[in-house]
Amino acid sequence: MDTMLPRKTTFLLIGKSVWLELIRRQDLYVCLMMLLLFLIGVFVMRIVGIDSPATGTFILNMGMMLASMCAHLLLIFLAARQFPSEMENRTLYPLLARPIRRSDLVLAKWLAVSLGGILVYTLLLTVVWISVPKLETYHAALLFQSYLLHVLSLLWLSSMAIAFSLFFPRGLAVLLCGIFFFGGGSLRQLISRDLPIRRLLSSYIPDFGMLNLTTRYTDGIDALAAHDLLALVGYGVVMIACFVFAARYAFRGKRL
Amino acid sequence: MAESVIGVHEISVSYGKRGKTVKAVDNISFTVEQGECVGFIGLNGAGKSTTIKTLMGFLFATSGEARVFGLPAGTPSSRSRIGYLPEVALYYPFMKARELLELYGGLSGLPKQKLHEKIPAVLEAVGLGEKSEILLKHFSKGMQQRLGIAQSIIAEPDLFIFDELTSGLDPIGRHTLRSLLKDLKATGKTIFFSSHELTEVEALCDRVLIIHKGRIVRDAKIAELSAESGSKGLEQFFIDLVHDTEATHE
Repeated sequence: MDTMLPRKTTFLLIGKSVWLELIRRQDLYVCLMMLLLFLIGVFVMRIVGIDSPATGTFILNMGMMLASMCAHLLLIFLAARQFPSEMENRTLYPLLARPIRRSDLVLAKWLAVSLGGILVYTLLLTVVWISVPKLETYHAALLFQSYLLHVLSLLWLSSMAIAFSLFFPRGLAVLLCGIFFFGGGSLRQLISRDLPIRRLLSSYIPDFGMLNLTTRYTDGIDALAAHDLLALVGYGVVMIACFVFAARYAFRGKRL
Repeated sequence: MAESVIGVHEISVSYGKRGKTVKAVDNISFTVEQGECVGFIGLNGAGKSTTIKTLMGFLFATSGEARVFGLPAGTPSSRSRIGYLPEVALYYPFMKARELLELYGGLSGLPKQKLHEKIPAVLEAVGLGEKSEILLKHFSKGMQQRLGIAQSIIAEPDLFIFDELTSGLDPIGRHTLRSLLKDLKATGKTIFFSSHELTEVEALCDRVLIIHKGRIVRDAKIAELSAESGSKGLEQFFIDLVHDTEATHE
């Protein structure tokens, strides 16, 4: 047993532990309860009768936004507590006493947490999409693009939450993620006013809104052109790479 | 000559930044040989846990070198042959004892089939045979410590490093642990542990390292210390040694 553990084994085992955490803690059930409330609302609306196609679209938009918000919020809390909890409870010690690399542990946690968020989002989105009647025309290709960018957004947010939790206290990490997720776009606009230097600085502020095509989809607008989609995918990938690198860097030299 | 299982050469470990550094470990050297059981004792804050964490790669030495099985301490390859018990850990509350051992055993490289065979036996050995399917949030501190011992022995490593071995254990737990360690020792495993329980150290160890204010102030075989301390016992000997060291420093 004096050889390194295969990466696949590390990723699968860490993934299983994160999965157990996800399904046995309360956060997921809060999301499912929100979904249940939404479904009850839709059920009542369908009995009473949806008066216009625009109302149907509004409900669909609300449901898809709810699915997105629940998955992202769940992910922030799940990702931001991974390393701080391990350190507080000292479970990081027996974990790192195994023949695994620190950088692999960061990658394994990030992938596992992200996968959990993606699965939750997929489940919520599917239930919402099936339950709401489609009274207007929407573009299927844009739904696929929206889903793809949401997956990127979830991967990005989990990498950000993990990185922040390794640099700052957990509460601050959650707060910063919340600020960037909900207000990144507004913050960018606020800073980019007037001076070119401010415009340049603002481009470094994470803007998750760029990866959210929900309203575009429910407004019935056409799918994105290939080069626009690629640009957004590229933006997401660069952001993910930056935060994963930062998390690995922070944890590599951390004194435990 | 065979390489020592643990070889610590003039390591120092400091904490803090910007001129406010505290030297937790100050230029210490020692070795632990194959098959030895070595007790590491000292007051709170003496540097025991810091030394152990450096051996595991959780902390980094500011100078000097530590090696485990001839490899730089803290590398994944050196850790693959160590069973480590941290000083009081609260294991994942959302997991069951079996699942926890599957995680740690798997990460130690044990195949699934072997794990399924070993887990009941290991849990039985630490007195948790009936608790394998209970969530850890329902475990007491003592049960958590027993589970900690179980995770450290699951992969049958060659070297055991225990930080505060008997912390949180009741008398029966201590008795079980003592038997377990004697069995491990009988099979030729190397054991290095810190403890405040000097009777435990006296009963189990071949050799004792005494650390005080970050420095090793005594490295001797138990037989030598027993002869030296006479009827005083190890505890009184330790207290006298600490007082003498303090007086010398003053």
